[in-house]
Order: sequence, then structure tokens, then C-alpha cells
Amino acid sequence: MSSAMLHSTLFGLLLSLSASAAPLRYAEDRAPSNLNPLFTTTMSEARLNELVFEGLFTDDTELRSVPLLAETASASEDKRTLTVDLRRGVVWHDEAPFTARDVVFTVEAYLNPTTASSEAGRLDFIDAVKAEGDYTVVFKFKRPEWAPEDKLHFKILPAHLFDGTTAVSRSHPFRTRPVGTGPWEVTHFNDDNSVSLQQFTGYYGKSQLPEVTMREVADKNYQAKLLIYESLETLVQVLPRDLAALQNDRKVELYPYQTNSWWYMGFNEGQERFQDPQLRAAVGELLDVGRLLAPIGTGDLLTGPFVKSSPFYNHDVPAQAHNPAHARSLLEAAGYELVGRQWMKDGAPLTVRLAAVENLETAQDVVLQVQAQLQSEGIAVQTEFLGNAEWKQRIWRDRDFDLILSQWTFDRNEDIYEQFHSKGSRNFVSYANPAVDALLDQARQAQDPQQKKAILREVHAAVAADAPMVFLWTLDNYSAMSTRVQNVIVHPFYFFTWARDWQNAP
Amino acid sequence: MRASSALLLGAIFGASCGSAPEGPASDALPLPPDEAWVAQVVLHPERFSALIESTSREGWIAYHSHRYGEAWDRFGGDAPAARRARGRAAWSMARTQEDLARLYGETWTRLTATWTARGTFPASGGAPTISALAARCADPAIDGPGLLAAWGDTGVAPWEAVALLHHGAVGGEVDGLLRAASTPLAAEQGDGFVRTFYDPCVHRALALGWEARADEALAPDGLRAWTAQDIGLEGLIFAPWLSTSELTKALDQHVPDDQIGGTVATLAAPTSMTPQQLAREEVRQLDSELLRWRADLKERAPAGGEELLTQLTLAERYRVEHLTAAARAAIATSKPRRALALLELARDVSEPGISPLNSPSLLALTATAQLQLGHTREALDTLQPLREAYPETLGLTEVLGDLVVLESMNRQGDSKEN
Repeated sequence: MSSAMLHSTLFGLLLSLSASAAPLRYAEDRAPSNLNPLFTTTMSEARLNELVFEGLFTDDTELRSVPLLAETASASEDKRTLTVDLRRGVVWHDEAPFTARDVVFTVEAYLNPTTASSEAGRLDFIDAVKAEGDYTVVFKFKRPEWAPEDKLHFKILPAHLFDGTTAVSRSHPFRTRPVGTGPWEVTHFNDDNSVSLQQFTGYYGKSQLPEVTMREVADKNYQAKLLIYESLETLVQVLPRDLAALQNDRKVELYPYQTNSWWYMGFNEGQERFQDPQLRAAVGELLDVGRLLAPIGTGDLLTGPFVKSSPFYNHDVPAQAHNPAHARSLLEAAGYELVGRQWMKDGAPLTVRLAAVENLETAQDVVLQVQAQLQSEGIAVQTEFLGNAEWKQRIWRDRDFDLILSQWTFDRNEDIYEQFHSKGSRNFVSYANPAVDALLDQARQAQDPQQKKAILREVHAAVAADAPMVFLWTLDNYSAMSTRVQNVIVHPFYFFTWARDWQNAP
Repeated sequence: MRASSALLLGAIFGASCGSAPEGPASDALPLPPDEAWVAQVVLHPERFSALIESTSREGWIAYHSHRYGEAWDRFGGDAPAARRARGRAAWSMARTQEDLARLYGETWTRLTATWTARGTFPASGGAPTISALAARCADPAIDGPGLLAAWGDTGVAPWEAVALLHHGAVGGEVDGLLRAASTPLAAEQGDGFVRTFYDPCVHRALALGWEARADEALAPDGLRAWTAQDIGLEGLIFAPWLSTSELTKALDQHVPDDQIGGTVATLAAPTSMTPQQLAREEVRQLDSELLRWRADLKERAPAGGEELLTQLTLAERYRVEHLTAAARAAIATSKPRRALALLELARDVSEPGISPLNSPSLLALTATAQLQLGHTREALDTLQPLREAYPETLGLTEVLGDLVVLESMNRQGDSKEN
């Protein structure tokens, strides 16, 4: 092929892209259960919200904050006030106009204690907000804010759909019938847990994909087959074990999706027995974590609440060894006695319920392995696989569990305050250590990068010593796409932030 | 390989990411099909055996796995083939250290600018001096005397010992500097923490040192001498250049050493294509050609040749070396988007760390492109596999970590369950 021919091929490709566009179908392991941004707790919800909702600011492709629903912003000299002029001509998916009232409502709804938004912590720097006319909003901050636009990325909600109250219920119909200002509107939240979206014709900007469909496919093998056989265009996350096969498929391309994500098994310290660090440490030492990881593929085993590449990871913390003999001595010290093949205390067998999200193939594999490993060492394990709604109710709200297997994913801040501070909104394992609380408070206030690193490395060591969780692993994260999908840049956390520019050639 | 394939390869990798070519297009390389080192190994496995016997099997295993320091040690002796093999190992290590030096320099530049803009850059202690030193070492044109002068200008007496190590390193004695690289240059008590800074010039000195070693091995004329003689399979195997003639031509055209095999010609591309899209399309075209070439070689290979093609992943290795050189050229011409797309497609994702197909340079260049595109946290992630194999990168990862923390300090963190 000559260079002229190549040129002509490229030009042809361009023409085909501009001629028409095909829908984008993507797979999630776990469907969203609540599309109201006030109650977003999972990555699949956050990703879908990215298509439907917008914030005042967003990231450009170089991760700098740029206005989205904001037009301009000006800060006061003392950095405690920000005046934001809003973009004109924006309408909600139901055609109602977007105004300053929506912004004020949104902030108040997030911060209303009755709403109990899982995202409230992201707005706790705001002291007050008021509208000045239809298109100006004035924010007052609790402390001087160096670059407040970096914090004003939360999604804005339509005030007119919430009956004038900022105390919003999780079960509000908005959870499955969301209305945003984003490039795509939700048309169906289907019985099979799939979600259908179509291009919003009233959108003020441009987008290329006429339709987007999210499908819940828990089986990773099946996901890969759907992509290879062109029944899907995008897999959000590929397991390490499947990477080689997908990389060798010429109709598929892999894109790094470098979330900071780690797996863990958490103890419910709300229960008295799990307040004993010896029991927690014993369970950790009974597990052969390397064997648990094997069915998933390769990954980095972790010693604490950060991924290994994190600036906060403390490389001096020793890895927890698989040490059944030591674990037995810890159990004895905690008052347990091995009777036959079962650990007992006060006449009762040591039994734990281990919960994970249902239908998630990878989590199920790990849960069954944990069950087998612990049972062979005399700890009875009952497994529980919970649906999304039940998970949110039992784990997040009622804290009705013994042990959970789950994963946390962090943006580039890697702020673990919500997970490990005793007041953290995501601390459903009820971990509490006043020293760690103090360090996490200091870390949030630190203005020197090296000081912040030092503090959080200390937190790593302290949390590892307390063992509120068995820290498992982090995986290399890649997404996979059909080569027909063009112009792809993946946001390292929200994934779809720049999907407006994506194209799918028919 | 057919001549048309060669033309295509040449055309593809000179492609600019914009509409206009950046300079005069050079002629595409004529690539005699069986002169390419991949073909030499596959079609003449006896030549590969002879190479192994005349140099060092362990040396080539180390080189193939990008353990250049070990390869250098194993390619001992004064025989021309051993010297050339040693020169290759040193040359590759110099490229790697240069890639790391570029990244280190850019990181320091960004760190200083970001920190200063926030108004919190430490005005006292070692930070201002080390920042100034880092700026000197960020200059790719700095040479050995320049580097030593930069150390002298700091006027910090306790650093004289480190400056001496640099003096040795630029002359090829790199071991002392390597040992010292994991110790902070400055450690000062901050408010409840110890502020540390590592040697910001370590990779620049190591690059110069390995360059000196390559020159010594390839004396008297260094890399250029290769084309004046029969460079043998040891001068070609696993290289981004396929043949002696390609290398000769590139050197004649003054292609920088570190970009040989990556920039050959230029191609006018449709203006509306993004650099990433264009790069991905080019790699698809390359892959089609390589696939055909590989199949052709496999068909013609005698006993043993096909096994070498498969077991040593020869075609894949050439592909990744070529894409890496092309990406380096893209970075040198301020095209990080293009570089990143090429590197993402070059990387063997089934191997998380350094492997025969994932070189340390590939990782360093990926991190550089990510840094230039503002994806600083991702750059840190990319560098993680270097931590064990290249312990001297500790200072680089710490400074990059400082930048990550600074850049995200205003942000309100977000976290979700998976």
C-alpha cells in the first residue's frame, strides 16, 4: 500500500464516520440501582450519571477544571466567596429552563441532613449559597478556597421536580426517571436492569452518539464474548485474565482506565466480637490471599488502604503473611478453643456471614474461596449474595453484616477520610481510632504535599496495624472497545466525561 | 518484506498529527526483505546460534528482558561481536536513563511552577537550590562538564561527595551513583514531618555515563562506527532499526540516535482526525503489514526458525521497539497525544511489569506523555513497575508524587464502590 493509498483509506474512514453514527452499547458488572446523584454509591451509577447530568465545572481532557453549566466565575479577594454566572439557554431533559434556583436547590439538598446524601461530604466546604437573579449564584465558603472550581464538579439537579423540598428521599421516583442537562437522556430503566439513553435534542452542545445502552452483564467471560461478537461496543472493565485474548483481537482496542481501586474484606466493628483485633488479625492470617487472586489474574497485593502506586502508600508496612499457626495462637489468645475441627467460644462455634454483591461472578469466586479456606481452618462461613438495593439497605444503612467482600474506587485524590474516619459517611465497617481521625483531619488541612504524604503514610501504617479490613489487591484496569468507536479518551475515574466526542461508525 | 510494505512502514511512522508535514519528507526506506533482523533470525537460525555462541547466551537473555546492566556485565571480552553487544546494552541503558531524565526534569519544572503559584514553595532550606539544580539538569543538551559545573554552582559543601559520584558516573563509573541514588540529598525537619529531596540529576548523569560506556565499547567512533563496518546480527537484533542500511540512512540524515527507527518520513493526514485517532489508525495499518510479514516468514522458516519467531516474539518485539522510537520522536516534537496513543497500543497489557515487550523506556515515555497531558496520577501508576528494577527512580516517583498531591489539593475527593 502506498502512502497515497493510506491517505485515501484514512479519508474514507473519516467520511464513513461523518455519514452516520451508530449507538454505543456498554457493559457493567453491576447495574445502577439509583440514578439520583444525591445517592450515588457505585461506579456504575457514577459513570451513567456522567452521561445524564452536568456540574458547574468539569475536567477538560488535561484534567483542568473548565466551566460547564457555569459560564464564568470570579472569586473575592479573601477567597471565601465565589460568584458564578451560569450558562444561558440550557434546558433540562423535560425542556424546563436551567436557572440559579436549581443550583441553590442542589447544594441545599446535598447538605440537608434529612436527605442523608452519600455525597454530602463533597460539599461540606460550602457555608451558604444564594441566587442573584436567574443566572448568578454566590457561594460562601467555610474557609478560603484556593481554586473552588475544582470542587464544584458535583451534579446539578432540577429543583422543579422535587416539590420544593430539599429533604429528598432515596425512593423518590427520580431514582429511575432522572432528568439532567447532559447530552443523553434516560428513556428506559428496563426490567432486565439495562438502561437506555438517547441523544438529548435540546442539548446546548454537540454529541455524536445517537443512543447509549448500558447492559448489566455479571459474567466477565460473557462480556468478552459479547464484545468480540459485536453485540457490545464497550466493556468498562476487563479482568487481567482476559486482557491477552482481547488485545489479540483485531476488532478490539484496549484503553487504560486507571482508577485507584482496591479489593478488601471488611469486618463489622459494630459487633463486639470484631472489636477484638486478635480475631480480625487471625482471619487475615488464615487467608492465602495469593490463592484468592489467582482466578482473577494478576494484581498487586496490598498492605493498606492505598494502591501501590499511590504517593500515600507506605512501602515500609510489611505484607501480612499467610500464617495459620500464628493465626491459631491469636484465636486462642482471643478466647477461642479448637474443638474437633471447629473454633468455639462460650460454647458457640465461631461462625461468620460473608456478604458480597449478587451476580458478580468475580466476587462470588473469591467469596467461595474465602469460605473454603476459613472452613478448612475451623471457622464456619455462611455466604450471602445481596442484590443492589438490599446491599445498600443492609450494608450502608443498617450495617447488618459480619464480613463483606467489596471494592473501593478512588479518584486521584485518594481521600480515604469517608472510609476510615469515625465520622466518615462510607465507614460502614464502623472503624474508629482517634489517632487516625486526627491524622485524617490534619491531612485534609495540610497545604504542603510532603506533609500530606507523611501524614497519610502514617495513616496507612496505623490502619494496617488495626486491621479493620483484610486488604487484598489492586488490579490493572483496562477498558475494551470495538475499533469502530473512535475519538475515545477515557476519564480516569468517571469514564464518560468526554464521551460527547466519541463516535461509533456504523 | 515486500518493498511496498517497507514504503508503508516508512510512511506511517513519519506521520505528523496535524495536517501539515513538519519538514521535508524523506524517502521511505528501501527495506530488503531478508536483510531485516527478524528475517535473519527466522530464516537463518544458524546465524542466531552463532551469535549466541560468540557472545553470551545469558547476556542476550538479559538484553531481551531489558536488563541492560546485567547484559553489559555478561558481554565481556574484546572480540568485536562482544564489544558491539556491549555497546548495544550500554546504548539501550543510556536511552532509558535519558527518557527518565526527561521525565524527571519535566516533573521538577511542573512541581516548582505549581508549588510557587500556590505561594507555599519552601523559600528556605534545600528546596530552592535543588529546584535550580533540577532546572539545569532538565536541559537535554547538558554535558558532563556542564553537569559538574551545575553541582559546583550550588555551593553546598555537603553535596561535594555526591558531585564526585557524578564526576565518576559521567565517565562511565555508574555504580557509586546508583548506590547513592536511594538516599535523600536533603532531609530537613518540617512541621511534624521530614522534608526530603533526592538527587534531581541522577538520571542525566547515568545517561551520560552509559553513553560513555557505549562509546568506549564502540570505540573509536561510537554508534556511527557501526555503519562503517559489518555490524553483524548483534548490532541489529531487537533494535528499532531493521537493517544496516536503515541505520546508515538514518544516521546520514542526522536522525537523533534515540529516534532511529521511529521517524522516517512524513505523511499528510486529514486535518479533522485527532492525533490519537490518526495514530491508532496508523498502528492498525502497521499491524496488518506485520501480520502478513510474520505469516510469510513463518511459511519460509526452516526448522528452528519458526520456534525463534514465536518464542522470542520477534515480530512483536520489532513492533514495540519501532512504536517506542516513534513515540519518543512524537514527544520530542511536542505531540504527547500521538505519543500516548502509540505507546498504549505498543504495551503488552497481559504483562503488568517490565517484560520483553514492555521496556522501561516504554513506561518512562508513557509517563512523560501522561504528565504532559495533565494525567499526573496516571503517570505515577505507569512508573510503578520500575520501582524494583530501577531503584534509582525513587527520587523521581517521590517528586511526581509531590506534584500529584499538589495538583489535587484543591479537589474534593470522590470514591465509590465498584
